Amino acid sequence: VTPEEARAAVAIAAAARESIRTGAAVAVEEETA
Amino acid sequence: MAQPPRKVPARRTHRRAFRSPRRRPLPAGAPPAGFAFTTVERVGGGGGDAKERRTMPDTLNVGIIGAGNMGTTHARCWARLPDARVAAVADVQIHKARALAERVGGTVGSPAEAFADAHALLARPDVHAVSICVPTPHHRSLTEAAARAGKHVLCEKPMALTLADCDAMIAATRTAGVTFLVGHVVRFFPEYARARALIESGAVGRPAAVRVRRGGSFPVTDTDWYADPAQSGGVPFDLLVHDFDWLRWCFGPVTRVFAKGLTERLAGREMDHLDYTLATLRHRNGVISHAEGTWADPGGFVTTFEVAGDAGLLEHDSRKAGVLTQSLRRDAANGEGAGAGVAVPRSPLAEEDDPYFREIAHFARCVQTAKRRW
Repeated sequence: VTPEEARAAVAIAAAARESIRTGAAVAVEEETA
Repeated sequence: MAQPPRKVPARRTHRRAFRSPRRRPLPAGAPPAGFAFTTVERVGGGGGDAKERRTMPDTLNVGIIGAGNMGTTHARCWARLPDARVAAVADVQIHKARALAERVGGTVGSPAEAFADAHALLARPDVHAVSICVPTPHHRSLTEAAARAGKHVLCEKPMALTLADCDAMIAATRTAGVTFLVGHVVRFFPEYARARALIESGAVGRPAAVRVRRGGSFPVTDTDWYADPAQSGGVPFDLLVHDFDWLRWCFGPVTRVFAKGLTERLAGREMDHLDYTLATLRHRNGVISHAEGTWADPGGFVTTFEVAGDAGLLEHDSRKAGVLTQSLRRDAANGEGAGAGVAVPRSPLAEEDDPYFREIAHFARCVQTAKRRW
């Protein structure tokens, strides 16, 4: 896939990892309008 | 270091499985037919690249960086392509590089070269493209180095562990004007690609709720880098990133994530070789996705998904013979029973349908036609 799309998947993974760490819902950095 | 000449590789028997990429017409004044290079012109393109002219080889010389499981998989696929050859392999464990180079590399009279240092491989001017198949923390530095050396890059997933690293990789490859793709191979699995096409066609109506699951036993390598979330990112980055990409491909951008998991306990060494994540994603269009990933199941690798829409349900379970079935509400209304499925083609995964081969062939086409988009 394009690197921009792969970056978006990384952004979701980062949000999931942060949510696991904090116990709270996390906004996806790249894709929040 | 040179390897001894070897026999004609068996891969040549698979040539018919690959359809050679269609090349653009040669511009006026181009070399005559049969000349070893094709000139490709690109103006603009994805990501805003500047106008460029590239001289593309008819045979793509490929370097494999990392000779582990994924590097071996890439190398075997590259070796099946008639318009490419594995020219070099690099791995810090030189014996692995040598073994892989011997198995799948080179051609008669021109064996693949093995390196312990990836930068030595990148210094070879006749290598046109590289597959980067090393632990994730090295993706950025090697992609940047490859771009500086003018190599096209296919990097294994996940792209990186931070967005800053992703941005640096994108900038480096744009500046160099090379093709750069990331190996999210799930898009090349027939059942996932077919499901996306069905969803796009409206087969389940408006998607509303999605469930995906992926997992198996904990991946173990000789360096055990998966057990260190600082290197692998744990299940969210290394495993579920497959589904995150597929979900986003099918249902669009994701705005919020809530997740529970064991990755932090793995990082704190409270858990030994066991990781699990259950994440709920809200897409911008209102779709809710539940993604479950596990490295805690010793029963073999399993993937499943369910896509529920207002017209029906799409299901996949890799444990079933029919890997993709579709059940429509209108079938039930017609008295055919809620369980009446509309079978779609199974994925016997014959060699030409090997998702990794399809992915590598796609990257090769992108390089040879100077396209960035997948």
